[in-house]
Amino acid sequence: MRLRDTEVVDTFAEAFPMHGARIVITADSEAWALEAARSATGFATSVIGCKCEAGLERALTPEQTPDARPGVSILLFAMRLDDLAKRVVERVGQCVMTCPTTACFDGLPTAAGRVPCGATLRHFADGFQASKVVAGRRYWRIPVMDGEFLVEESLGIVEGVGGGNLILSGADAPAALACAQAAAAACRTVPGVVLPFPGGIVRSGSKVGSRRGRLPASTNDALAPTLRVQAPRTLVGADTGSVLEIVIDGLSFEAVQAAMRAGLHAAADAGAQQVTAGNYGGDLGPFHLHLRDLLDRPA
Amino acid sequence: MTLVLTLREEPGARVDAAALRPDALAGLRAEAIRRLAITVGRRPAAVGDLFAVSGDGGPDMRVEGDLRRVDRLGEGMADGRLELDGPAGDHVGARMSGGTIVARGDVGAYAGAELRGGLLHVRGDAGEGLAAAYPGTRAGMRGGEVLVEGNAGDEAGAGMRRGLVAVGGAVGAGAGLRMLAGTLIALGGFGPEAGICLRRGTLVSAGAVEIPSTYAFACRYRPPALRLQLLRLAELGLGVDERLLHATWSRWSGDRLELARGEILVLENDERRR
Repeated sequence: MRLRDTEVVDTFAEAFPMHGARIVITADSEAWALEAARSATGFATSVIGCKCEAGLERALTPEQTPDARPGVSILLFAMRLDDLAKRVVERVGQCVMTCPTTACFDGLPTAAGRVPCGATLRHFADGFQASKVVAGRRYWRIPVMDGEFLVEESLGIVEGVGGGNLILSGADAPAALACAQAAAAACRTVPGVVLPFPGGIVRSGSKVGSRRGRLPASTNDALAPTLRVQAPRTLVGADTGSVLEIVIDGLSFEAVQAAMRAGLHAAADAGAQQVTAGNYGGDLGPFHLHLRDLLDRPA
Repeated sequence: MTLVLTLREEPGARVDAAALRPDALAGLRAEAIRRLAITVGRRPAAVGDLFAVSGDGGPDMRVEGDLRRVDRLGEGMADGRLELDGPAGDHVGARMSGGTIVARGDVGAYAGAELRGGLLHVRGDAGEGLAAAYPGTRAGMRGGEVLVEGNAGDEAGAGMRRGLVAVGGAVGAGAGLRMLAGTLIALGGFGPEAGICLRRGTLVSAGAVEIPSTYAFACRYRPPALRLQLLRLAELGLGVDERLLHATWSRWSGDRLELARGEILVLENDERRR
């Protein structure tokens, strides 16, 4: 298949169900909200090594936040519900509560499932905590050294989709990177998704397992240009100098699909040599995002 | 079609109108509503004797006229919307657990007393005992929201346990007496003896307030929860000055005769002058 000058491989991204939460962080300034958000989403690229996946979803204007201050929404994903509950408390407690002037709100207030947040963090107040219910939502006031940290009692969670992906090839590293950056920027315009890797781009895509059997994941030798000759099976063409991957986690299948569509078209517009997607044969993940379904331009 | 009850003339005695609430009348035809029993003074009467009834019972209901001698309108209401077009008597919305009451005039004593949920919005003034506990009971309001755009009488929020009460004007003496928790906001300030024997809970004054000697100054700061509450009040239609959202407040902790876990938040003087 072709999309402008780009070859689009007729394959699919194989994605998995993940539990997801949206956390709205506000602060006196957008800069402080961003500080907290960056810290809370740090070291959260892959569940393989980080126990969760997270990223910045978007900046919010004061009109879009519960306390009318500048804010940032972040998404946090984990494979299991109890894991997500632990990661939420760890990250809000260590990265948001510690950050000056911040407050923390549920970004999915209508979701049926909930995980505790302020309900657990309130114990940090050592008995001095107080709660307020505003418009049916309970908030905990935790006294801290700059005043009070306000945090919502629980966060809504949804069954999201993790592992949507696009794999982009270029003739050399700068060309591939330019295409990947354009694709990542386009993916980020879609609400309800995050790109958990640095800048939204992965250079160390992995395969399941390893030759010596000790690692759950190891380098994707089939897509490493330097192993084109050595790898047992290569997918790298002779004219390809660099391959980069974009991984997308989202709050719904539709959001991930929309982000992949936006990324695919941006990559083609930027002149990507080839776009493909990663899967495991279709037997592991229940969500199959076929590239052939994404060829129409995003609306 | 909204059920409308129009008071024919001022009743000769106080009317017990506890039966007049939309959730209790839902599903009843106008004729059945006219025959419903209410009490005028000590005498039984029918709704139709006092009110002209139009429309059938449903989720929305309006009562019109000078209702100052009509008590207990919307008492115990659990659902629906009740509008009072005219001044109303005592106990409006007392013990209600859900739904919305909008009173377009003044209301009498004990409006929203021991309220458990829902919204009571008074566009005029409220009498004494707003959202309070009835004499002899420990806990007053236990949830929900009460808004008064005008002033409120004495002992507003007495014994209050949960919920949000906001008064656009001033509140009389003894506000928050024996309050257990919850929030009572007076944009026009409190009368004397506010917060006496308050255990937890929050009194907020954007006007004058006499801090009891059993309270101690804690700090000046910008309480994030108060900001959220003020935004909620603005959303509900109470006029909240934008500057209050960004203001600095003094926090006084007390009452030290009790747990000292309550607070009175007072708008800083220089903020008031701006």
